[in-house]
Amino acid sequence: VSEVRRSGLEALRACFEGAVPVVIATVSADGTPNVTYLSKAHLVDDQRIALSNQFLSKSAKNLAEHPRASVLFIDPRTMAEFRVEITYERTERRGPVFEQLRHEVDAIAAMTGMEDVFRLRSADVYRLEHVEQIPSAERADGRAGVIWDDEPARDGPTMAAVAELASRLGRCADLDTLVGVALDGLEQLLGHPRSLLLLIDETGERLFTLASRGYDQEGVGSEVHVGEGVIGTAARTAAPVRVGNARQMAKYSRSVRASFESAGDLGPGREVPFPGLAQPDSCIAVPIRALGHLLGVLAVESPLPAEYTADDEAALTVVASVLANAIETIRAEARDEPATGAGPTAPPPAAAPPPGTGPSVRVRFFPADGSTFLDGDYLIKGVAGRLLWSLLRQHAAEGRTEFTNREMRLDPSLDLPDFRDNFESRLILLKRRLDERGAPVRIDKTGRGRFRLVVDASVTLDEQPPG
Amino acid sequence: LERLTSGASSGVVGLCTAEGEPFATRCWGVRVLREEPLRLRLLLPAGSLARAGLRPGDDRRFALALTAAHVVTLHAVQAKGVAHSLEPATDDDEALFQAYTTTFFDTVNRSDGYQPELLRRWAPVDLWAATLEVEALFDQTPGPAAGAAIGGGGR
Repeated sequence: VSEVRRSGLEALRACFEGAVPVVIATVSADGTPNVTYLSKAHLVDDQRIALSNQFLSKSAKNLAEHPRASVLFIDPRTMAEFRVEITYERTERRGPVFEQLRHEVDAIAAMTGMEDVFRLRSADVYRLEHVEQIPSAERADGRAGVIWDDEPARDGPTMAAVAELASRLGRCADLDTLVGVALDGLEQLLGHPRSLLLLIDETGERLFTLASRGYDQEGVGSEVHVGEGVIGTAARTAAPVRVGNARQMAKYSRSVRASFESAGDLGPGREVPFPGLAQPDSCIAVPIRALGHLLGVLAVESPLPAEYTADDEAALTVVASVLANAIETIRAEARDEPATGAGPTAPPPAAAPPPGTGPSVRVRFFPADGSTFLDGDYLIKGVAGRLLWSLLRQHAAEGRTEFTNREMRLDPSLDLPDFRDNFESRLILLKRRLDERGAPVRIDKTGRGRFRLVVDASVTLDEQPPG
Repeated sequence: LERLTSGASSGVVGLCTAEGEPFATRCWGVRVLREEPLRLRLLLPAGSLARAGLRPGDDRRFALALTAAHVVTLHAVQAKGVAHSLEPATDDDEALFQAYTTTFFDTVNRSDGYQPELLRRWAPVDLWAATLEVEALFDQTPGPAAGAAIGGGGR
C-alpha cells in the first residue's frame, strides 16, 4: 500500500459505480482552478473514461482552454482513494459509449420522474495520463500511516453455477415450481439472497410481483409501473439496468429537483421507491423476454454499494433468458391441454366444515376491477381476483373443488385476452397470495393442468354492485 | 460560511501547480480567520501537497479553489482565491481536524451507511495548514444554478 500504484483503470472498476461522488479539478487558461463533484464517471476501457457535462459549465469551459483534469475516485468497498490525471480526447454524440452513458442517465431520470431534465446530449471521452493510489492515513512523506488487511470482495458468478441453475430450471414442469427454483438458485448458486420476479400484466403497463426472496414480506401481487424505477426501466427499455449507488442517485436527484423547483422550471414530481429493501444501494434488473415479447423482470438487490459487477449482470441475463423460454413453454403446453386431463391426482382433502361451524370468512368482490377482499383486507385484483370469485361461486353453488386450467381459461367472467392470456401466472399469483396471507382458502396443484380449491372455512360471498 | 466550515460538509480542493496543471485533493477542516474580506485557514493532507510540489516555508502563493458540499443535501459553495503561508498543523488545527472528522464521518455514516471505522482510512495522518484569501464565492449545488456567483466573497 505504501507504493503508489501506476496502472490502468480496470483495477478501479468499483470506483465507477458512483457510490461515492467523483471530484474533478480543472484550471482555466489564466491558472484559476475549479473543483466540483461529479455524480458518476463512466469507464470506457483501461485507458479511457467518459464524463457527461450536464451541469459542468465551468469545468467544461476550463477544459476547452486547458484540456487536462485531476480526478479523485474512491473505492466504496475499501475507501481506497485514487488520483487520476486525464486529458480530453473527443466528444461523442452517438455510438456505444454515448448509448451506455445515456442508458445510465435515463435510469437516474426514471427513478425521479425527471426525464425532461436528465437528458444526455454528449459524452466527453478522456485519455488516462496517470493514476496513483493515495496511501491510507497518508503521511507527509507519502507513506501510508496504516496498512489494512482487507477481506476479499464477494465472489462473482461462475459458468458452472449458471449452468447448474439453468439445468435445474430445465427440469421444472410447472410455473410455480419454476419460480421457486429460480429464486432459490439465485441465492444458493449465484449469491443473491434478495431477489424479485415480476411478470408483465395483460395491459403491458404494469408488472406484478410473483415471488421474492429475502424480505420481511414476499409482496406477492405488488405492482411496478413500466418505466418507473430500476425495474420499470428494465421493462421499458428491454435492457438490463445495474445500479451501484442508489442512495447517491436519490440524493443527487433530490438536489437537482429542488434546484429546478426553486427556479420555477419544474413542478413537484414523484420519487419512485425501490421495491424490496428500504435502503438498497445496489440493484440489477434484467428483462425476461421470449420470442421478442417481454414476459417480466428478474431483479436482485443489496444494501451495500457497488455490490454487483458486469459479470453478475451477464449471469442474470442468462438466467432470465432460460426462465423466459421455460415460462413460454409451460404456457404453450397449458394452452394445448385437454379440458379434463387423465393422470394421477392428489387425494381429496378433508371436507370443509359445515356452514355455521368452525372459522368463517367474508369474501367481498368488486366486478369493476376484480378487487377482492377477505374479511375487509385487500387480497388481490384483476384476473386473479375474478378467478378466485369464479372458483368460490362454483364451490358454493355446486360444491365443486376440482378444476382444470383449461376450463377456467375458457371462463368468460375472467375477461382474459384472446392472445397470450397469462392464465398460469395469474393462477400462481393467486395461489401464492393466498398462501402468503395464510387464508382459509387455498389452491393445491393436483396434476398437470389441474388444481383443487381447498376451503377450510364457512365462506360468505358478497358481490358489490358496479358503481 | 456555515457551509464552508461545517463538519457535515465534504471539502474538496483544486490547485494550480507550479507547472500550471490542475491537482485535486481534500480539505479536512476550515476555520474563518476574518470575515471581511474573507480569509480562511484550510487543513490539507501533507503528503498530497508534497506530491503537488508544495512545502511549508517555501513562501509560495498559489491559486486554490475549495468546494464544500453538504453530505445530505448536496448544497455546495465554492471559494476561489490565493493560498499562502503553508505550515505544519498546530495543536489547535489538530483539535479542529478531530472535531471535523468526528462530525463528518458520523454524517456520512447516517446518510450513506458507511461505517466510521472504514471512513477513518480516508483521513490523512499529517496535515499542513494554508491561508486562503477568498476572492470569489460560487453556488456549486447540482442543477441549473451551478456556478452562479454569490455576492460579497471578498475583495
